[in-house]
Order: sequence, then C-alpha cells, then structure tokens
Amino acid sequence: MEEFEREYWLEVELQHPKGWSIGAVGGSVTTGFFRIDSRTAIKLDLKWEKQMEEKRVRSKVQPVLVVNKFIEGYARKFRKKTEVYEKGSVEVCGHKAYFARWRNDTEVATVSWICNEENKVFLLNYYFEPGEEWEKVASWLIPGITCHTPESFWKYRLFGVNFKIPKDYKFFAGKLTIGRPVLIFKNKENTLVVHWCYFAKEFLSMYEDLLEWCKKEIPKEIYAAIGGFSPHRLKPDEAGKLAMVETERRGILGKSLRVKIVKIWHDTDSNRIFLTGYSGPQEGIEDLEELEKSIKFQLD
Amino acid sequence: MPFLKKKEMPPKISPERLYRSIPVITPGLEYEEDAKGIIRILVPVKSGTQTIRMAKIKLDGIGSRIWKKIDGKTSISEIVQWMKKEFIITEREAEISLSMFIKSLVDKKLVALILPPPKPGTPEVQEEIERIRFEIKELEKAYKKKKVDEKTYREIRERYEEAIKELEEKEM
Repeated sequence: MEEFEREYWLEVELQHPKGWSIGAVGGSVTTGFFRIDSRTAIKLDLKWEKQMEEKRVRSKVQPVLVVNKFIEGYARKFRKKTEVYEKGSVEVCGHKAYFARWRNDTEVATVSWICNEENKVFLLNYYFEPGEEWEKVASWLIPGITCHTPESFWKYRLFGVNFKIPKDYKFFAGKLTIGRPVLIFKNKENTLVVHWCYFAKEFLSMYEDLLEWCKKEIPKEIYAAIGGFSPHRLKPDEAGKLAMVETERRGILGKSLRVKIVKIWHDTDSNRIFLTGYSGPQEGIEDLEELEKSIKFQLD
Repeated sequence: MPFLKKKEMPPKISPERLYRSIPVITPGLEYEEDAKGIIRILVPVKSGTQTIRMAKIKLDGIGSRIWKKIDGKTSISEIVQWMKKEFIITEREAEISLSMFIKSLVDKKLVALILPPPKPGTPEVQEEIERIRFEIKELEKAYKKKKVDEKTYREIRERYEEAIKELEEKEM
C-alpha cells in the first residue's frame, strides 16, 4: 500500500505519496502557489487567489469558468491543441468543485473550487504519468485537501520542521534554500521571521560557539526583515537562547511601545539551529512565543 | 553569440539510476587526513604530461565525513540513508546536499560514478544507449585531435558499439 505524507504550506494542507516534495513556491498577500514534484516529474501544482469583497457578494467567479479559462490559456500559451475528455464535479473540503481531465503532451486533471470561509478561488492541476488512474489518484488527493480550518493559525511544514503562523499574518518573502530556509510573514504592523540551519553540530564545531556562527551565517534577509538587528547585540537569556530584545517608544507622547526580538538556539535533538524574530507593537509578542512553542522537527 | 558553438552536454541520467550508482575516488588520486578527520585531496597540476606541482583541496568537516564513505562499494542511496541518521536530516535534504557535493567532486574529476546496468524494459535502456553514443562522439573528437591513438580508438569504439547492440537486442 502506498504511504502518504501531509504537506502544510501557504494556507493549504494536502497529502501526497511519500518522497514527493515542494518544488516551487510563490505568492503574495492575496495569492498563493506551490508545486509538488516526485523524484522524476512535476506532479501537481495548486494556486489560490483571494477574491475581492464585491466579487464575493456577486459570486461572479465560477469554478467551471476558472477551469475552462485555464485550459484555453494553456493551449494558447504553448500553441498546442488540448482535448478535454472528461468533466465532472467532486467535493473538496466541503465545497463543490468542478474538474476536467484533458491532455496534450501529458494528461492533466484540473480542479477548481471556491472556499467561502477563506474567500479564495483555488485551482489545482495534477499531472499524470503513464499507468496512473484518476479514480485512484482522486481517492487520496481530494479528501486530503484542507483549504479552511476553524483554528486561529495556519500550519506549515518544510524539510521536516513544523510550525504555526497566526492566520492574520501573510507570507511576505522567503528563501527555500535546502536545509537553511528563511521565511518572513507580515500582518498590518508586525513581522515574524523563521529560519533554521541543518548540520548544527557540525557547523558549531567549525565555529567557536553559537555567537560566532551568528556573526558569519545569519542570512541577509533576517537583517532586512528585523531592521537594526546585529549579532553583536545578542545576549544569553534565561532559557539558554541567544536573544536580542530592543524596545522603542513611538508616537507624540511616546505611548506606543515597539519591540524587536530575535532569538537563536541550538536544538540538539533535531541537530538544527533555529532563529525566530519579531518586529512590531509589544502587544504582538505572543505571536512570537506561540511560533517558538510550535516549532517541532519530525524526521520522515 | 552565433559564432560560438554551444558545448554539447551529455544526455541526462534519470535520478533513480543515479541514486543506485556507486561513487568511486578517481584511481591514483591521493588524499590525507589530519588528526581532526579533515581531508585534504592532493590534485596533480600538469603541464603537458608532466606533473609540476600538487594542489590541495581541503574539505570541511561534513565533506570529509562523506568523502570517507566513498569507498567504491557504497551506493549514493546508501550514503543518503547514512546521512539521514548521522546528521538528523530528511531524505530530501540528504539527497540534494549529497548530489550537490558529488557533482562538485565529479566536475573536478576527483570522483567518478559507476552507473548500474539499466533496468530492462524501462526508459533507462534508451538513456544508456544515448549515453554510449555521446561517449562515441567524444571519443571521435579525441581521436581527431590525436589525443588517442588509432588502435585504442578502434578498440574502445568497438566495445561501445557492442554494448549498444547488446542493449538493443535485449529490448527486442
């Protein structure tokens, strides 16, 4: 029997056979995209777009139109004839979805649905390899998709590291370097940063200690996201982590207190160095604490 | 630029076959290990056929430990499994880190890969035939430039052609 693993990325959860992994990501505050590859081929991509409020009221976007437009656009872009040979509907995470199976060089199943809870339009493409059957693929792919949850956070999972980001934060920028990713999330005023580095024990044996590692190895994206951060300001805190905590009063009467926090620690169990950061009003510090608590490593 | 001829690249080998391949240290290559286990590879720098000096390539701690696993018996997939446990990393992380490291060693001609025979009835057979044809072209180029003598050229070419014939016959 095929084994599956769950992927948590950009506000969507889905499952796929073990060994497949995220091959590309993209998106902004109002859009999301990711692609999943097997070892040898592109297997699926999923994109979503937040609908404008007025569109939601008028319900202008129809999944059937989204699918047809996508297939027509594909044919035009690659100047190839496409043949749609099956159409139908399925239920995705409680929403009625429309699907079409079509082919040109490869066989593709395109599925679209609207999630009213999140006010998003989704489009998913599954790329078949010879011998794969839609019925079999659909039986694990479709029930595994989660596009909305009652929780106040989104789960993320990348290279075995799981963490949670409050729902009001959006993916702002990132670098998915293998073993050393940087992920930056923002809401209106706050910034949350997550970074980790594998081979921690081996890297730390090359440097004198964690502080020396920080001086040389922290990616430049962290400095840009947490303005004013410098490894020279890091001091050990009571939990044994290296931390920089800076506060600044803002506003005419200096009533608004803004903080910048960066925490770095070596987790021996996962052999990783983790870095979390926060910049924003003091009231938002809880978001950083929740993020730190949620970080867990799970080997595949 | 149109007047620059694009270098012909060897045909791609499927990741699954690469995964089963066995890396070997280039025969004759020397290396030394210090007390901390750090490897220094001694690369001969040649002028014509004469070695004029030895260049040293120093690996880092992780690279040195992987280098010691390249024993001509252990396959890429076995090294990946060892890396997963040794460094507590995911399979994907191990695969990508190792393939980048091995590629850099292969590019510098410090390591070669022994490919497993192609699986009959799979695209690996055609892939192997194309790879051998590419090798024949490279051999022809070397012969024309008088880098190999006629006897060696004919012998190797014959062996390559036999290998292609054998693969094609098995597939029929």
